[in-house]
Amino acid sequence: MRYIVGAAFSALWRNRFTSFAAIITTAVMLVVFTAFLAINDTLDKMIDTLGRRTNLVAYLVDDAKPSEVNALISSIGARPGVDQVNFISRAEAASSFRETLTDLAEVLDVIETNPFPASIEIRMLDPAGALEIAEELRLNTAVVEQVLVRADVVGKLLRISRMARIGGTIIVIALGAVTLFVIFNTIRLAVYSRREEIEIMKLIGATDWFVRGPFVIEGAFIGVVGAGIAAVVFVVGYSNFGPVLNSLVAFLPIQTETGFVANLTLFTVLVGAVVGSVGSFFSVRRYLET
Amino acid sequence: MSMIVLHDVVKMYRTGAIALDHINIYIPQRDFVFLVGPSGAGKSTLLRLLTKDQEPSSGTIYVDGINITRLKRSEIPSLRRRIGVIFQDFKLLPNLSVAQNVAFALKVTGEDDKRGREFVAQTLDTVGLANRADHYPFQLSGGEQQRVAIARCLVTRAPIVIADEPTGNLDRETGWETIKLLAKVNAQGATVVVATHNQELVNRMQRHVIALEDGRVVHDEMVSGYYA
Repeated sequence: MRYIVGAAFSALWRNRFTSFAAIITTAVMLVVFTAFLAINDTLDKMIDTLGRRTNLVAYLVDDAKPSEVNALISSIGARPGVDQVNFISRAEAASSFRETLTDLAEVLDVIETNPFPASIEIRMLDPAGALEIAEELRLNTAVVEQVLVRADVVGKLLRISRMARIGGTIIVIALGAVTLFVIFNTIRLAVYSRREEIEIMKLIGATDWFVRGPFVIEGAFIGVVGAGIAAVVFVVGYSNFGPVLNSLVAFLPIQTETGFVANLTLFTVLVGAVVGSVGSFFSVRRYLET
Repeated sequence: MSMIVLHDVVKMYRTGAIALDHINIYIPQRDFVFLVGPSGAGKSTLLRLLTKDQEPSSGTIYVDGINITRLKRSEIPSLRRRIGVIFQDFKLLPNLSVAQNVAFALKVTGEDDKRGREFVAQTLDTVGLANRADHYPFQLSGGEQQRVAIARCLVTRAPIVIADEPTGNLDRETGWETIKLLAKVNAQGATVVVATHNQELVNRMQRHVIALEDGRVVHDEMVSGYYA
């Protein structure tokens, strides 16, 4: 075992240019891959948020009686096709505005009264029934001032996002395959350049593992270091670029908590180690079997 | 006792070309054999079958009393450790020094200890390369590189040494020195098989000569052999 580890590192050093090239290739491929995973994740989150949007909003008259409002909520909630009915008080509307559009929050400070009406947000299981409910709400003028139907828009957005999600998954898989292919081939080239060494070891009577061991460790090392570089680039890039993007486009749900970044980093390094060592294993096997 | 026996061995390539055609060969222990014949006669193929680098199409091969045609893949390394191999192009590891190249054979067998290192020095002395131990292959002449390859066979005390055109890349004098060194290895107890088409060397040595032509044994002279 000591020989195998020692041989692996001395070979890495001896072939340092090839090793370096393999590490950089691995790093570049994994940076692209993780960046795309992050983009896909953001897209996913966006779609989730969209999906949670309400289909119908009924803004209430300011002097609506609470009993009437409650009656309306329960009657709508009982209808088939309705998923959820939420009451948003005026105060909640104001604070939600402050939270989502932070840049505009100061506007509220200038206006002394709360300009937001209370509202009922209705989420449909099936946006198709939304128009009928909207009509009914409009007739209830004692409670409802205005009705906003977003059924069509939301429906379209959901369709688009569903397609985007499928497209994203396909691209992730394709890019993943390309990443594996490139890393795998880089290692194969590195092994190929040393096929004579493998041949000599075999002729002297080295066992398969004696020949293969150092290559597998080298591959794992190249994979881990390449992935490590990719992870560093990703973490630095994400932590600098993410907030900037978030401030530019406020509604983009870019993950800024470290848990996501840490998970993705760990995943990247793991991919590097596995692809590196497994790649070497199979690359050497070709020469062992001849 | 017999060291190497080939019984009715045929080697046919996928293309249909026959490299060895019903070969029967008997090589006793401690023998020094020349395998002669023109290029393409099947000499190299025959040597490759001995190390299980290639498989015969049919027939049986015994090496050191073992039917190697029945060996499992996992048993091949232990066969190869009993056979030292020498090539025309030396096949030294370019990144290792002379001493490291020789010691590498011991590493493979796990004998790379203090005694092993002493044995490496001793072996290099035997082949006359004691003062070259720290040189690298590219710093050596062809004859010296071939001596490193021979030292690599000696150090594992392999009972069989096979050499494929060991003098092919060497000048006349160096080639002769190499053959003399192989004779010394033979004198120390190893069975030596040398494939060559160097008529002069064969006739000068007058040992067991097996002549191949078109994959067939055309001539087998156990003693005082000649390559006509």
